[in-house]
Parts: sequence; C-alpha cells; structure tokens
Amino acid sequence: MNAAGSARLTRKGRATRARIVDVAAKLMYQRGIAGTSIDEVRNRAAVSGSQISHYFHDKRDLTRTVVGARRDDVRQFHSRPDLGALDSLDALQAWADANVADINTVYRKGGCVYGSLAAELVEADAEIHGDLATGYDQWIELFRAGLVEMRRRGDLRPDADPRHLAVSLVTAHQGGALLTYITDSPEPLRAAVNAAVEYVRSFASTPKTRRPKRTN
Amino acid sequence: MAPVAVHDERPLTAKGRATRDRIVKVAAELILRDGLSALNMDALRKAASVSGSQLAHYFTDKGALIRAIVARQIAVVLDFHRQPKLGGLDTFDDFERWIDLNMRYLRRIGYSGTPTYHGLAGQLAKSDNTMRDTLAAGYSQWIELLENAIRRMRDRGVLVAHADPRTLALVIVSAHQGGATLAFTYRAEWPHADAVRFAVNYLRVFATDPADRVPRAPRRPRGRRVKPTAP
Repeated sequence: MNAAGSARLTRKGRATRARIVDVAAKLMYQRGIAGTSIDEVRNRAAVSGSQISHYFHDKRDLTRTVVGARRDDVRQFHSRPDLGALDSLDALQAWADANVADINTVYRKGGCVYGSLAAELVEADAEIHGDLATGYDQWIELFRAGLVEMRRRGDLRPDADPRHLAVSLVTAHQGGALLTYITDSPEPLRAAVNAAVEYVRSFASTPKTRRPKRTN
Repeated sequence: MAPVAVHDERPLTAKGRATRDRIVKVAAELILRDGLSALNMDALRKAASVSGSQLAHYFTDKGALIRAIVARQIAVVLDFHRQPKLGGLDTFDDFERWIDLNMRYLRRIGYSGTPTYHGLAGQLAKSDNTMRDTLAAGYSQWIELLENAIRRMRDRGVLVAHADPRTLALVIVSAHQGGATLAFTYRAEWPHADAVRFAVNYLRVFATDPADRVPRAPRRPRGRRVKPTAP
C-alpha cells in the first residue's frame, strides 16, 4: 500500500482502503484494468461511492495503488525462504520451479500479477510507466545482486554479466507468463524460466577455473 | 502492407482490399490510443473516412473487426521474420541479423502510436475468451515459424541432436515478448536488447560447433533508464 496515501487514516480507514485495493487488484487481474469499473469495485468491496472517492481521486489513482500493491507481491514472492538470496544455481532453479508450480493456479488464470498490468498499460502516461519501471528495477536488482555474489565467489565466470543475466531472467519470465496466459498452456512459461536459468548456468565456472570455495 | 489472414474474408477487389486494410489499420490505432472499450463504429467510420454501410460490408461486427486487427498484426510479425535479409532464419548469422533488425524496428516505431503484437495481447487478452483464442492462434503461427527454422538448423547439424526446436521457439518468442513489455514500460531499448541477446545466446548453447557456442556479449546501449518526463 502507498504509505503516503494511507498515513493520515485511522486504523479502520486503513482497513477499508486496503479492502478496496485488494478487491480492485483481484478484479483487474481477472478482467483487465479496462474491464474493471469503479462501480464494480465499490460493490464488491461493499463501500459507498463517497467512501471510494475519499480514498482515491479516480480510477487512475486506484490503478497506480494496485501497481504498488502488486509490486509488493512480487517482492514477497522472491523473499520466500526456499529462494534464499537468489545467489546460487540451486536457488535460481528453485525460483524457476516455484513459477512452474504456480502455472495452473496463477499464470493460466490471468498471467503474471505484475506483468499483466504492465502489458495492459502499454500506452499509459509517463508517471504510470515510472511506477511500473520502479517495480521492474527492484526485481532486476534482486537477481543482479545474487548474480554479482555468484560471480564474486567464482561460481560464475568473470565474463558473466550480472545485469544482462538479471534482465534475461525477468524478461523471460514476463514473456513466458504472457504466452502461457494467452495460449492457456503451461509450455511457454516453463520453457522460458528454465531456459533463463540454464543460460545463467552456461556461465558457471568449470571446476578447473573455479576458485577454491571459502570455508566460513 | 502485410496481407491479412484469409478467415472471415470475402473475395475483394484491389480497391476493396485497400479500404478494408485502411479500416483495420485505423481501428488498431484507435484501440492502441483509447483502449478497446472506447472503440465504437461511429468513431472508426469517421477516422477511416468510410460510410456506415461500407464498414458493415467489410465487418459484420466488432468481433470480426478485432480478429482482423490481430490477424494483421501477426502478419506484420511473420513478414518481419520472412524478410529476405534474414535468409531462412536458419543460421547463427541469420539470428544475429534478427537481433539487429529487431532493434532497428523498435527504434523505427518508437514506444507509442504503432500497434504491436505484445501491445494487442496485453490490451485485449482479458476482454473475452474468444479474443484470447484469436491471440493464441497468432502466437502459434509465430512459434511454428521459428520451430521449423530451428528444426532445419538441427537437421543440418548446426545444432546438436538433442536440441528441441519447439522449446527453443517458445523461449525465443517469450524472450521477445517479455523484452518488449519491459522496453515499452521503460520507453527504452535496453530490455529488448538484453532479451533478444539472451534468446540467441540460448540457441547458441545448443550449437554443434564450439565456436558458435561462445555467447556473444550483450551490447550496452547508452542510458539505461530514461527518466519519465511529464506528458
């Protein structure tokens, strides 16, 4: 939730606002942003029109808040304990596996919770694109930091480019999620995330060139 | 102009085809600008300078029109892949050129105003299930084109025997579409550059010749992130 927007609210107010955002995020995921009306959000969240306009100026404002909420969802997914700090090939493979495990329950139902917003907002204004880019920046950085660490440890060769590999992982995920949703098939996302991890693996140091592991 | 798919299309004269193509092009631009829900036949009629009866003659309803838009857009993608400069798209040199031409195309169309397949997919996918099927059919054609090209590479021994053409085709189309989604979000080319480089380098993992297997370095375009400016 957008902290600035909720700072001055009472606890009850915060709960109401959170409920509105939750309902809006779900509806937008199911039907798209264009297919979600403020009226419907109001009905589903069981709040009055004046309540909704108390918390959000308009649909654009609500959409931006949903982008923020989904950004948090992505961050939360990547802080699952089994993914560690995303700084080993095993952790990256666990990431790919975790995505594949969600294919039927999430991706075939509506694509990526974050990427489907970005894809629909292709012609939105600069401020909304900035919001979305901030989420992608954070996501790319999560991977980049882990990959930098892997290279520092010598798990990856010096010619591995952490930034390039991080962007590869995120774009593979986003395109795979889009195609898996559109084609209603598990194949694209499974192929894409596994390929991205295998791509990282192709930069793994061979045992000979690998520096000895530190024991600590 | 790219040929449109033949479904729900009657035989047309050259002039009829031109009119129909103009309607489809204008409609695609309207959807891009204002969204699908804002597309109404009146606005389209005016923007494309056709009469109501002409419009009704070419498209029985909005659904038929939107199917034609998607068909036109996937034809643009398929034509791009079939252009003579790309050869048969079945050597590593062809795929390196595929990267260059993708980046050149992106620079040419910019990030606004020109319909793209990922843009249509992102905007239309959730409008209804028929739309999703129509978009899926387009992706299937694209995947199949690449699958066939990659199979030829494998059959000629350019790729190792265990290379799976379908999986590789899925990876390439996915990377392309994900790269496009981020590029259009950032209004910058680097995400697409990284994504298509990943796609081709991943194909290289399956090269028979060790020299082909060496990953090519991603080009680092200047200015990673364009700061959003007020509209």
